Amino acid sequence: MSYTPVSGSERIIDQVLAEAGLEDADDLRPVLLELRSLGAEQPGPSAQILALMEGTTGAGSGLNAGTPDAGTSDPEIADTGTAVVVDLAARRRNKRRLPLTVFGVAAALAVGGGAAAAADQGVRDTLHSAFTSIAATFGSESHKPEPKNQTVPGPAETSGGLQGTLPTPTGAAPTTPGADGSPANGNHAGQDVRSPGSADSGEGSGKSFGSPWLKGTPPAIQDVPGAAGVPTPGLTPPDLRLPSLPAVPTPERTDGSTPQP
Amino acid sequence: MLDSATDEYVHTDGADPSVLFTVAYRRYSGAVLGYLRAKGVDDPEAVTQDVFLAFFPKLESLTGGLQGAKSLIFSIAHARMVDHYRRSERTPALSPYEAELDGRSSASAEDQAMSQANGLGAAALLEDLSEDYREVLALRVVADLSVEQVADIMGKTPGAVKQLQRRALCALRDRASITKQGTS
Repeated sequence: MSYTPVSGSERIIDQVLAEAGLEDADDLRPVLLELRSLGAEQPGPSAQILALMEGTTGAGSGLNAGTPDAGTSDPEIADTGTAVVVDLAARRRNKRRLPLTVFGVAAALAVGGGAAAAADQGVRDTLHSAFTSIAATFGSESHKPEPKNQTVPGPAETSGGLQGTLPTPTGAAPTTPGADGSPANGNHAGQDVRSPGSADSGEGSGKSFGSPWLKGTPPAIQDVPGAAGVPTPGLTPPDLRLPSLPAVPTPERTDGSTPQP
Repeated sequence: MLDSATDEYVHTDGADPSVLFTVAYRRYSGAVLGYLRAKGVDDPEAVTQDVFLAFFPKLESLTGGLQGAKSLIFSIAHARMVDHYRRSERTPALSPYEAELDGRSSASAEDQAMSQANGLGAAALLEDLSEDYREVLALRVVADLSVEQVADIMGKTPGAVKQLQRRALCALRDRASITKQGTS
């Protein structure tokens, strides 16, 4: 099958020259004919092209009937085996893009939902109340162990079995850790508190001094500077606020568990 | 053999893609090869195979029959040619020395006669033209595309393509006359 008959080439060249207004350019015709002969050679199909043409052997469409060279008449096509060419690159691209698409949609929904929720005042109030309740819950749980430590100093002097569990030298100053809750401040507060209590006797100060502080009653605190009458640096307002800390349940435990004289 | 004036307008909608592919290859592969040769692409035979391999997956969405296939095939060929030149600009050409490819040597009379028989003399004339001139002449003369199809491929208006074609023919005429005077 020849690609371009001579008459067809001349017709095309005449048309091109007529469109350019160069019908009388006879010197251009041989050059254009020579240029057109570049496409006269038909390349032989490669193995992949032959594999794609293989489907024509069983096809009986109208195009096949109109083309004498197509179909089973071609020995090159008939000799090749059946081969199915599948474009795997497109499938790979689709699989690669699917997780990215899902992640992108999920991220966009999360950002949009977060922005909408942040813009709503009711949601903000709800979140604030929820955080407040959670903080209150954890705060109450963190204060619960303190009564256990406060119960220890009282019976620690009597029983002596719980002294091993105390992290502070409660034997030297048994009253102070329960009042403050922290060992470091307990020692410091114990020294301060002992000074007003020194007006009484040593044991009496320890017993009468421990129970009012554990009870946390404000009148007992006010009595301390009044009774002592000595302006000590330890009786500063921050120290006065120490008994009002959540030592409220401690008297019940101490009163219920250990007999206080 | 089919009449090219009527067969190119056969409606191929719903036809077997492999049938249309076979017909398109047998009808246009030579023109694609000539177009790539006229554009100076390295290894035009292999690029022609690549063009048709890229054409086959697009057969499902093809409309317009063989004329549509022709326009699509040369659009792919044009894109491959542009890719070739972009790639060659980025990478230096490394090839062993071959005496017959040395541009400083003059061809013998036998080589000139053989090259004119193969159309390579016209390709040598095209090399002296500008890129647009070569493109419009290759698409119009070698590929036998209409003005509208060439305008679609080159991204220009049909009027601009006609003007470009006229200037290209005038430039080619001047080159041919100069070459003829030099050889005579």
